[in-house]
Amino acid sequence: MSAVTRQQVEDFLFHEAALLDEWRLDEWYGLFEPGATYEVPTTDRPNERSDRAQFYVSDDYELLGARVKRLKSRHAHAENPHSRTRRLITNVRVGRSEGHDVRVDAAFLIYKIRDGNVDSFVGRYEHVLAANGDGIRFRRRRAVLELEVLRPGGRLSFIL
Amino acid sequence: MTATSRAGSPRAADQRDYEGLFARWEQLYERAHRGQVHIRGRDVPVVDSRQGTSQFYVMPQFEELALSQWVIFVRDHTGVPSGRHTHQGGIAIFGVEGDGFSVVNGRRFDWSAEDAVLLPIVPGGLDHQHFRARDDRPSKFMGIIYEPLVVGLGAEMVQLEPQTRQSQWAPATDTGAKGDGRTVAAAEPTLAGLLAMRERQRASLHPPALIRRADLPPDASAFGELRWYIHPAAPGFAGTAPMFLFTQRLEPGRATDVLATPGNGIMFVLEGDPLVELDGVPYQCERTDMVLVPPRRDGVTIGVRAGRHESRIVVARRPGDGRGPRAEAASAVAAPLLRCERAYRMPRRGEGGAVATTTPLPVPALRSRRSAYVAEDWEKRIFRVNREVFRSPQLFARERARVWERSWLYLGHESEVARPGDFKQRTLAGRPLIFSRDSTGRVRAFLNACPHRGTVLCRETEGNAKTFQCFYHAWTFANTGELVGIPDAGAYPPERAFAETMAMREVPRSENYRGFVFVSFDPRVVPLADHLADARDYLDLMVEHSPRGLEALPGTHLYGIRGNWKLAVENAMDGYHFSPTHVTFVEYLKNTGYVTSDEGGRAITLANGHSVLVFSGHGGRVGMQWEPRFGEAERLRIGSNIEELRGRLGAERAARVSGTSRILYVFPNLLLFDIEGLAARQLEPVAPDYTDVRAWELAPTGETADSRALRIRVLGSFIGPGGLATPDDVEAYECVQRGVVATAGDARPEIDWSDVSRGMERESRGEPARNVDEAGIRGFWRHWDDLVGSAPA
Repeated sequence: MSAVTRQQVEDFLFHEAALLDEWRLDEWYGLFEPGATYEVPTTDRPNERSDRAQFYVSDDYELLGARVKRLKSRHAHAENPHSRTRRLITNVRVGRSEGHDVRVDAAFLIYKIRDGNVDSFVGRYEHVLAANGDGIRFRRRRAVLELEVLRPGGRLSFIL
Repeated sequence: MTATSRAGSPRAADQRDYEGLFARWEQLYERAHRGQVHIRGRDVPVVDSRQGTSQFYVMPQFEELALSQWVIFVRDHTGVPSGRHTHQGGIAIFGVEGDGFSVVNGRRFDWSAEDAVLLPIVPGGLDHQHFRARDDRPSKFMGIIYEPLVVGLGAEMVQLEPQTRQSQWAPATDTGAKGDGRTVAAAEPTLAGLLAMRERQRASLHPPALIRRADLPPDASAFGELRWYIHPAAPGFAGTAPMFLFTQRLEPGRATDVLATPGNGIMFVLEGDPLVELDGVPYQCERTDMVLVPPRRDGVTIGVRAGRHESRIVVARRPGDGRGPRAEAASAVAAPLLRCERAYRMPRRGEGGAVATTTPLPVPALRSRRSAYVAEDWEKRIFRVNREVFRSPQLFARERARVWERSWLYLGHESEVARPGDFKQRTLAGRPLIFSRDSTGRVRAFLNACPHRGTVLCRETEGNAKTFQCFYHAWTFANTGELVGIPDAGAYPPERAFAETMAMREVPRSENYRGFVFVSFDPRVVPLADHLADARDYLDLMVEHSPRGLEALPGTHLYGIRGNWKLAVENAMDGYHFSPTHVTFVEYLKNTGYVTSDEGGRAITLANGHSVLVFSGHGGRVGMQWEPRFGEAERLRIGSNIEELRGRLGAERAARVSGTSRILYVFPNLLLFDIEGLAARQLEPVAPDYTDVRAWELAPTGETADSRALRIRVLGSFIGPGGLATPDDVEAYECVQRGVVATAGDARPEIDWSDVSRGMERESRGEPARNVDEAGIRGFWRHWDDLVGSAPA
């Protein structure tokens, strides 16, 4: 028996998607437990550990805070002006829980639109969520791309 | 001794009066002014002498030379080894190449290139012999002898033992060697005892000495980076060789100030292609060339400009007072220690009397050019690139043919295919390849196309396999490339001979430099070492991070950028953009307690289109340079790493490895980052406006798990599509690609050019290029223009 229902998890993920699509990054950062991580493994090693392999992103809580701070600056040139994004999140599965921690898998398709290009990023989430009395937060947020190569658009300057 | 007294009627030097003496001095003076100054190493005959195989550059009896009082030879004992002999010291032995050792009064001194062994002046002279470190390895040293002193001290030379090879040498059991002071009896209260005591004191003051280059601090001077082996201010100077002995290092393209000196010495080129200007006359030199610096009446002026390579020169010179051969000859024996003249800046000859602050040499490297695509104008100090180079499909095709099909290309790191049977697909120059290690352990590069009908042979992106089988007709190949199975092979008579013609097609050339594997599609390409040239030193600096070399981590950044490949090169060789483009990253470092600076950074243009940016205060590097965000444990690890480096590489090299950051561009497709951590980036042009990038993180083989984890996190914070900095670089070159369309075909063609002039003003003054200048970019464009832009169609 999971500590949370799929309905609750979906609500959480859809709310998160809305925050990101609207670039409400401070509120988004508030969805993370202190000590949480954000990871994007490379396309050729989707199952590696971030202390042994090169990743696209392997932020600890502090670096993630720095990432948010940077993205809010008008000097984050890669996202100034911001990309338009729209996240479609589906196939949500709630896995086993351990204490307050719940493993959650979902599929994502993110469209990123900027400079006349529409780039799509497709993949899956392999999250670990902490479901306490006061709501759901990220313990581990992991986005795994199904792409073979980051093409056509080769930057993860936005949040995947 | 006024100038007018010289200009009298001709006099004979054999007259037995003052006139004869003056006539002899006049002859020396003539030699100093008109004699040969430049001696090319390749023109000096190699002869077997009683002390070994030698090249005699300078001998007093070589009347054609401008220098008359020196004996300078380079000896390598390839043919004849050295015999054991004795003569007075006051002589310097300077290592030129390889390793050797000298046994002096029974003590063995092991030396390497650019170490010196000083044979001091001691009562009775020195008993000594020189050896190669190994009979089958090069071991060259230069003997530097100032003749008047040796003659004045009694130039007797006694051959004690015949010539022996290193393999035959054993430490002497007979310690009755002369002159080391140890054999002198204890002092007694007699005159003899007093003399004995004095000699013992002398000997103990000036033992033979080995001076290692690694122990000498660099002296950043107006005359280049100097290392002083013999210097009047150094202890023991009086008893060593009575000369200055120092080396000078200059970065490529860099010039010294022009100095006025009394002359009387030599400069010998250890490395590089410097231009040496003596009294306004340029001498283009190469390795093993010698320039004589004669003692001319009013002294001489000397300046050096390094060519396309780093220049290293060893200089031996008499201290003097600048009044020419008379003063020198008169004082040579009586006072071996003359005062050290003050070097000062002065204008070159013919430039009038005003003392300029800096007087650079004429600059042969600063050649203007004007092709269809590159305009370099040193009159106006302007360097421009036609934006067509980023847009044109025709130029893209020409680059394919002239660069990518002909040059060495970086394929990958050998550790990516660590085990026998490992393979990876990789596309280079548009050609699908298999990068693999066969079952015998050999690293291979095959075209990924079946020899039969051209089908892609290997369809897995990576893996481990003993064989590759084409699915189409089931031909099977061993991972050595051999065709080992054809269904219904009997249809191809004679079966074996046919199969032999159908082995997997290898890329014509493949070479490995310290783990970095390069290939070329041109069978006639120059050896890889020649292509890398000076870039090797900077590659070495990366490999030397670890005693066990480097390995590529799992996890490859694979991404496409909407820009021309040359924009990625420009961006990497451009320190100018760092502050404005990466302001958010600099902010982030500042918030973690670290402030970056551009002080002391350099842009160095290397041969063959390579270049390097050197940073001193750019940022920390895991394992090498501490930043607060690395934490205390890493601070301790860095301390012990640097200790290990010093032990392995010597203090100076260790400081280079650990103390500076670098970005190295190896033409045409490899960028190596030694900043934050270690990374390799490969560029694969796909179209004029699209480039694929592959990037690997490198790390010292077998480092601790803690270091590895930190390294990954730190490098990831900066670099790659998800880092805090690289996306802004990608934004920059994608914006250039979109922007350069604006001026295409404009009615004002002059506006369709991009400017990379920054730093030319400084460069034209002979100052080194800073990494915040665009010198590295210019070096790239010159090479590109030679190969593509200005080459005949």
